Amino acid sequence: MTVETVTLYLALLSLLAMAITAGVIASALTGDRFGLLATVRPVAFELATAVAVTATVGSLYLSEGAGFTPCRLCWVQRAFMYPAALLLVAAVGTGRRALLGKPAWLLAVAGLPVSVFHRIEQAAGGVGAFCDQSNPCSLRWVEHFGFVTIPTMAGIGFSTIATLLGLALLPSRRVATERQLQRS
Amino acid sequence: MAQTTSKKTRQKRPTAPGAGGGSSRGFLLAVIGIVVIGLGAVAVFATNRGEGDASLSDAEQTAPVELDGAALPQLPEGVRIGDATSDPAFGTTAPTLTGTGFDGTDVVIGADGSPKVVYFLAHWCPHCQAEVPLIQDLIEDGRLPDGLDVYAVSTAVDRGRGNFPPSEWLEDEGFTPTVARDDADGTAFATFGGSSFPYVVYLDGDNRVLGRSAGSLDGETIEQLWELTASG
Repeated sequence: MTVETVTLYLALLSLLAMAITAGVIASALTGDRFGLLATVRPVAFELATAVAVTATVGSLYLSEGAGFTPCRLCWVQRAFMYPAALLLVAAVGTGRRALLGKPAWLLAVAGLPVSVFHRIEQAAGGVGAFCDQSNPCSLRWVEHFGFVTIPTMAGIGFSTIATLLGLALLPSRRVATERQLQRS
Repeated sequence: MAQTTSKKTRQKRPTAPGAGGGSSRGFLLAVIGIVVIGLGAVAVFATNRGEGDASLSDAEQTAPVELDGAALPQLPEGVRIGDATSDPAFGTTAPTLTGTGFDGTDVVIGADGSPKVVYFLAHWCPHCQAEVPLIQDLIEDGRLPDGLDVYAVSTAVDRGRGNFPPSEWLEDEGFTPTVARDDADGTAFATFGGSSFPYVVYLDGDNRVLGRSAGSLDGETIEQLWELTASG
């Protein structure tokens, strides 16, 4: 299997994650008319964990397998993604989802703007910009479909994890109503 | 009464997802799993379809080069193009490059009496990707001064990086200047003193360095530099 195959696969997975995230957000904004939130909620935590683990393993493959040297901003994103993956795996393993899921959600939310900044830096290259052998953050090691670069994938990963964890950890409207009724 | 209802609700809650929700949860995970595996198959199929051609392309993308003459010093940072005081290579004679193009034809970049501009391009570099159509547009608009030759050297080839192979990229862009292939180690690029892309060397008819630049340039600057090079 070539590096190109793996990066294309990661890019396709990113598009799938993006579609799920967009669907969940759209459903949340439109009152879950098609029942997507209710369908995804039971597996949201596991899906978020799978995304975090895939992002972690994928990033390790890109640096250690494919030989793409991580830049400064890549390392910052790793600092958010790797602990999030560990927390989520521990949460699934121990069942302490609320306790371990919340800091993972915070890490995902904090990592997202770094990915956005990195992607802007990649896209910015105006007059005078160059590609340095010493690996600046603007260098695009991977690009699929004209826009899916490594920070794009990381950004999609962070937003998917944050969205799915939000869905999994926030009480549904039904449960919230029940709780309110119990209190009253 | 309210308390009784509340207890019932609490007792029922764990069983509800288990009964109906369990199967839908399993179904959803199965669907996602199938999609994930399917995407893997798509990736393998999409990248293997042309594997025979790709390995052939890989072999064709680099070729041995001969460099006759002393290597140019590496371009220091912040050098102004054509500035004799800041560019240590200014006025020195560049090595003569003898190599081949993607179609195997011989390419010689040396002292042939014509001033020339040599672009060192990396296929994966977005700034090179932006520069190539700019250069081609200027050529097609007739902005290339008479007597000035434009060459490109495809270097830093890495099939693991994007926009591979460079021969296809340049063909797709309709790039008309003569292109030479650097070897797999980027010997020509290093010998001409390059360290970043796009790297440009401006030479007079005797192959002496009139200036060097690294980084993308706008169309107007490219044209001005061409005119300055053509006028020596």
